[in-house]
Amino acid sequence: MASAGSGDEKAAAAAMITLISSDNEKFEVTEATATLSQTIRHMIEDGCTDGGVPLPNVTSKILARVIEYCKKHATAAAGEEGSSSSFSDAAFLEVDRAFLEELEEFDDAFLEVDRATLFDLILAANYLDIKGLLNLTCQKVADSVKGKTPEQIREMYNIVNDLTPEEEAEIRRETQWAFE
Amino acid sequence: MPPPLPPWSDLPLELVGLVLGSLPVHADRVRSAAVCCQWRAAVREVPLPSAMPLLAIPFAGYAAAAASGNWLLFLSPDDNDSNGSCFLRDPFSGATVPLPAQSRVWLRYKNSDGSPVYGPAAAGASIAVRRLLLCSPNLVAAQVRLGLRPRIAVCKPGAASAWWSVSMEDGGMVPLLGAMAFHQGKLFAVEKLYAIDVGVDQSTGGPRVSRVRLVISTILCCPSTVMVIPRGSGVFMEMLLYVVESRGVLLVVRRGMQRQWTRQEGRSTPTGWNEIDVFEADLQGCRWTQVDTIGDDQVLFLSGHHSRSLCVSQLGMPGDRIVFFENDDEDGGRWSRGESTSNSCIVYDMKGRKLDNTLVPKGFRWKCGTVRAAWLFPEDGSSKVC
Repeated sequence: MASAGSGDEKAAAAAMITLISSDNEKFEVTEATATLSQTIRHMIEDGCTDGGVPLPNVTSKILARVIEYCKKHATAAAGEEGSSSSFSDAAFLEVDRAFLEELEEFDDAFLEVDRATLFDLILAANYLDIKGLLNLTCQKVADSVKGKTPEQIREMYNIVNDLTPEEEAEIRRETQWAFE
Repeated sequence: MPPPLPPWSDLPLELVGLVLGSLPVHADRVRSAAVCCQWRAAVREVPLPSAMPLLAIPFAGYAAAAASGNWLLFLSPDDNDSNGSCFLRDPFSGATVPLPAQSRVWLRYKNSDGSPVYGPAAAGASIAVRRLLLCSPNLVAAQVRLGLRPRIAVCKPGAASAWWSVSMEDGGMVPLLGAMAFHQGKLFAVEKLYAIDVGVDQSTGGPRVSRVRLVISTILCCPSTVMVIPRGSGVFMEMLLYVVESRGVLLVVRRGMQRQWTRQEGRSTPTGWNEIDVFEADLQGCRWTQVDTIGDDQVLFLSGHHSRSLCVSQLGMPGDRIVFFENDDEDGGRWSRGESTSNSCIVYDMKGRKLDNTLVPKGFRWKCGTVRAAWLFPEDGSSKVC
């Protein structure tokens, strides 16, 4: 794990960033963690992070989860950078694989949330432009609707059917095969 | 008090698109699109990655001989009443597009003095459509048989009364064309690489083959019909070529299938050994370049009828793989006679340079020689017909 350690040192040497949630809670994070968000990365590049980064669209509850994700994945990113330099031996590859498995387990556990939290995480990942988190959360929703009928999906996600009877008839006519 | 339930139907369009794009199976997308207006709009307005292809088997009474995009080709039963009618049908929407009947043959050949002659074929002459490629809304290209010879025929889809234009030029020297692909607005065919130019026939108003140009003269393999059977017992390789456009380049996949020939039995059976090579057509340099990857996010779905490259990065499927599916024993009993190997469906892993049959359902065995199958690529924008 030498590379992950050196990544942490690098990150520690860098500046800390303060993120401010919509309910005015402050979170101190390393730049490596914060820049997993492209939105924040651009703000840092533009030099407008002094005094903290206000995130009016993200509550403290969701921001805490997002930071948890970014911390874990920032370490992973640092590990990847290390692997491209001097650590190419088999022992390192073994560590690398173990770490990727750990990351996968983390992601699975991370997604064990109720649908309301999942919804907010998707919006936050989109707003903060964190591609990995956005793909992960959207995949979670996609997996949950596999093999389900429209009625079951509506029930699961509390969606009101706002299609007109004419539209419904049209859908049935065009895609009858998918409902049999 | 539980928190108020979030308005999932208010999820922005592009995010719904991301969710639906993560669904690899077309049927799941179709059902999701019937949930509410917002989700329906997402399917219609957000460009989604291609869904996983489906395998289609024919309906009773008609032979689904070929597919192109989400269209299946139906040929009428071989009887006197039908005049060999054929049409395309989208099995998802039920939409039907007529093609010229197989008896509507317009020939173009050269007189002994070299002057071109055009006109309808003699009564009774009829082509047999074998493979079909939907190039554009206005152009269908097909491998056909006219008499004993394989030919290329082109037509404009949409009317049974139009003509199949068959090129008879070059005194039968039109090469034995194998697989075809449409690439950068042009029609290509192997086993050398030929570019087939299509123009407008002034007399019919439809398309016609105006020229067949040799682009790459190196032959990648002998066509399977002239394979050499060794005397006595032994093994030999039977070769198949597939052409497919992938990430903007034209690829040819060569599949060698080893067969065991036993003299006593007087026939050969596949041993299950396959050799796969992939070549990129260098159209400027007029040569083949062998490649060892097709891209980490690409999967080639190949069959003799219709091949396609698909980006699978969002579909949760390993990439850099080639999926072969064949069940067409028209070309010499390759998969017939109840052979026990699963040669008809194999998956090749380019990176590991080995067959990867973890993707093939366990115990999968196609019942050979009874029905044909074709890849269907649902909801493919490029294959819309006028």
